[in-house]
Amino acid sequence: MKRRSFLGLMGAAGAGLAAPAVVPATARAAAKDFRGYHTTPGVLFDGTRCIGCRKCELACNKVNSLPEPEVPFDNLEILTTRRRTDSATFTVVNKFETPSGPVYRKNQCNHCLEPACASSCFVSAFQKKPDSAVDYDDTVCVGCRYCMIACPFEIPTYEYHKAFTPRVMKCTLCGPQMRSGELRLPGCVQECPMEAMIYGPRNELLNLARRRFAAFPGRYVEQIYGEHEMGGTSWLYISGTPFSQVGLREDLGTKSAPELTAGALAAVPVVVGVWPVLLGGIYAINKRKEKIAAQEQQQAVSAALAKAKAEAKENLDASLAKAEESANRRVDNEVKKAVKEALAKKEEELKAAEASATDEEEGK
Amino acid sequence: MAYRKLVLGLSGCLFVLVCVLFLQADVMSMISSSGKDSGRADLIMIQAIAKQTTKQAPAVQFLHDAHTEVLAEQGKDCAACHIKDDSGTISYKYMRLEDPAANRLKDLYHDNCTACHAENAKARMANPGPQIGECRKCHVEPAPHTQAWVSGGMDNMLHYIHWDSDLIAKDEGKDTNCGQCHHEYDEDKQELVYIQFAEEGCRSCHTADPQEPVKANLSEAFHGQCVTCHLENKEAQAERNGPLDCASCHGGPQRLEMQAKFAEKLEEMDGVLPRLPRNQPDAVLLAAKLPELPEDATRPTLMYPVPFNHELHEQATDACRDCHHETLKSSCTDCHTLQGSEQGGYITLERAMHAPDSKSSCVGCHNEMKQDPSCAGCHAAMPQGTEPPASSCALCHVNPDILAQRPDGHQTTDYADYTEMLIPAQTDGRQPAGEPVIVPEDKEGRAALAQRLIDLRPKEALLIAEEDIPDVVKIDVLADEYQPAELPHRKIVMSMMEKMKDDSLATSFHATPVTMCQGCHHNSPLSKTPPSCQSCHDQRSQEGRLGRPGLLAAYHIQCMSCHAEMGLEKPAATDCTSCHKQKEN
Ligand code: SF4
Ligand code: SF4
Repeated sequence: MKRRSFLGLMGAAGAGLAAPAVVPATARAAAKDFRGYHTTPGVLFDGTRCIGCRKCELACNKVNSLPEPEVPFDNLEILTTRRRTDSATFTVVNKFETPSGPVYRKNQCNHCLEPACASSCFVSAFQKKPDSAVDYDDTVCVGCRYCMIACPFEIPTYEYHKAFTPRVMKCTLCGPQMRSGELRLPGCVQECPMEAMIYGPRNELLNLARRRFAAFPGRYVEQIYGEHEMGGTSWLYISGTPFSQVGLREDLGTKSAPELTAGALAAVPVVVGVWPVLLGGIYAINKRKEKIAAQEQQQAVSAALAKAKAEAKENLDASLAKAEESANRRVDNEVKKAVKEALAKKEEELKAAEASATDEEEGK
Repeated sequence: MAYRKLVLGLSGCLFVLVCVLFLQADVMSMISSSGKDSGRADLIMIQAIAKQTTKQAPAVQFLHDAHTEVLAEQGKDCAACHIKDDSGTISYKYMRLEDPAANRLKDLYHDNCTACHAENAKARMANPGPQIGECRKCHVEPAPHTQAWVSGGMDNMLHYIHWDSDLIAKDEGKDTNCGQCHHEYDEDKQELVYIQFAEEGCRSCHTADPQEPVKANLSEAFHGQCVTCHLENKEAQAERNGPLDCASCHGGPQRLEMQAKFAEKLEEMDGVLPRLPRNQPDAVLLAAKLPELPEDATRPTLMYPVPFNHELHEQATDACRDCHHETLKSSCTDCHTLQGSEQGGYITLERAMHAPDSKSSCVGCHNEMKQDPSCAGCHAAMPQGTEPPASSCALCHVNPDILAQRPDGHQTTDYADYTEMLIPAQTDGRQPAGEPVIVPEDKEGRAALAQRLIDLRPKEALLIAEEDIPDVVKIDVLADEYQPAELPHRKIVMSMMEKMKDDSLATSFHATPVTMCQGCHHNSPLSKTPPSCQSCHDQRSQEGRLGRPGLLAAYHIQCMSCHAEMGLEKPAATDCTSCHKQKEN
């Protein structure tokens, strides 16, 4: 199925497009065209400044009124264990050992310009807002958790412990608080004692990052993560160590999620129906969310595998068909050749017979 | 039926695959388990047959040091495999002076290697080496070893050890021994001669692809010269003979070990190597060579010449060639001209001196020195564009007329038009009142002027009076969670001054008593009372500004990055209470 027709169908089904209402028209026009986002706000994270103090985690916890964490924020030992975000932790700082000493990186929703979570959500629970926040609306969410599978950064998490009103949880870029005037900056940005994060118009952040590259040659990997990744994100990273060494995927490419997922969705339509059932089942058996996460990952892998298998089979079938065709052609040729030879032989025989007949006649 | 065949065939393939994989894994583990093979400095690929048009067998990986060792045990030395030419120089090549035709070369290797191995077998050696017919013991593929070697250049200390050595004979009628290695080709006499004080680096003639009349390329020259001498010393049973194996000069770890030893030795010598006895200048006046100009042309604008402390830089570099590249016989400005020349690789004089990222330019090398932890605290935080700061030009490009102003400066009365090509480095009208000093044309005169200017440089780090430095600075503008932080301001300044005390680079370049202050009080004019941090970093939060840190971050970034760059482990950046005492509620 073509992307256009898929989206059309979704539209017709009343699900609506990913985030049509609020995104500037230019940005909506084509997935590749991000001109509309350039002056929207973003956050630049400078990995050479972060000292791993977890003040941002604390701030995030406070401004979002999240539950007290298992490990208190003044415990910095925890940084060595690789953590990811969960339903009660919208941001985590991880420590990475490198030859030149430890390096820290904060991880949270990257607020993609063309969010995969939004494009995968068929009830439009996710919306990219003009203030760059990718917002989640729990009142329309049906709990299919498609967004969790779709996000290439493994960000959205699910409140498994809530039986009746579970929500998908992730960093909000403090959109709600900032819109209401309660905050002027995202909580983490405000609280960072090193200004390892800077909040401002995305294009200016890109310029600032480049200025830092120029002013301190050799200090940075001269590339801005998030400038193009997945079609660009509102959260940008610069680093003194290669991005893959601080847990940032470098295999994502520059295509935005809608460009990618539309194709994938079209290819495996069956999943749409099966998924909620499947996840419901898993939920019943496993209460522990880590386990579920692992399983989900496996599901994703097996789904991908199944797709690959199907593709492989298709390929196989195609080549078999080709082989058969060529075999048939060969047989045809053989037959033709045999017939031709047989005919020729017959003719020769006939000629011989005729000749001998004449001979005989002559002999007579 | 067809299926059974297919299954059989497939499983056959699989079996072979598994076998291959196992074998491969085995071979791989063999290589990696013997640490020696992680990269050998003595690995020589015998590709004698390279001249052949078709490859007949995989190249032989020859482990030179393994052979040297065994030969030594048998009481043999290099002469077992290498022959000497008429002058007694040992040939770098195996069993020959010149390369014969490819098939003769092949025979040469085959005959001589196996002959020795056969002898070993006769002598019932445990591991005699591959015998005739065991082709695949030498011609192995895939190659079991990897090559890893470092260039075995001579640094200052190694050079000193040689010219200081009693084992090396003295030059005729002199008390130096330089002529034992350094030579020059005399066209008339058609022989190598030694000319004192005109010694060149080996590389200047022995290039990778030497031109007539130079015969030996660089590695042939080095190996012929060094190994022959080391071998002679060994034969004479000298107390020290120098290495005869590959790894001692070309092994990475061995080289590091040697450097560590040299550092120790240098320390024993109070950090000062005796100067090379080559009559090199103490001071040089660096000025651009003016291109040939037509009579009526206006002269290009130039900077004042730079007095260069040659003596000091000899100590600070690893080898003469760090600056002089290929040859010692020309000065920087011969090749690096104003417009650039072919000889100078079209690198203009300005770039040759100022390229910030080149190890051989002045600025580039000085930049590298800033990475020393004592310096990096301040310097790593300073933005370094592609150019050195304009304010620093006058530190090197000194107006020689300051000599006229100084009480100890010598007044000259011999004026010339030369000053026309000098632009004033200071534009604020602080021109000397008297007549301008002439820049002499002759070498001696220029060296003398350079020396006088160098002598005017500060001998020790400048600083304002200690009592003028604020002692403890209380930072309480941020105190809400914690008690105010007390910054031991004077202690910090004094400890940094202590660190740069003996560093002539630092003392020359921190040219005023308040230059030091700029490390923290950046972007403000030089002053004894610089504006406080708040005057620029006035907000606690970054709100409404982009890039310039708010006060809180400004303090933290400055203090923490300085501590990190200087390698101060304590206090840890995340240990808040070591700087800010906990507030009592
Ligand atoms: S990072 Fe993940 S959750 Fe955040 S906007 Fe992008 S796709 Fe959505
Ligand atoms: S608050 Fe700033 S310095 Fe501390 S961990 Fe977070 S990003 Fe890093």
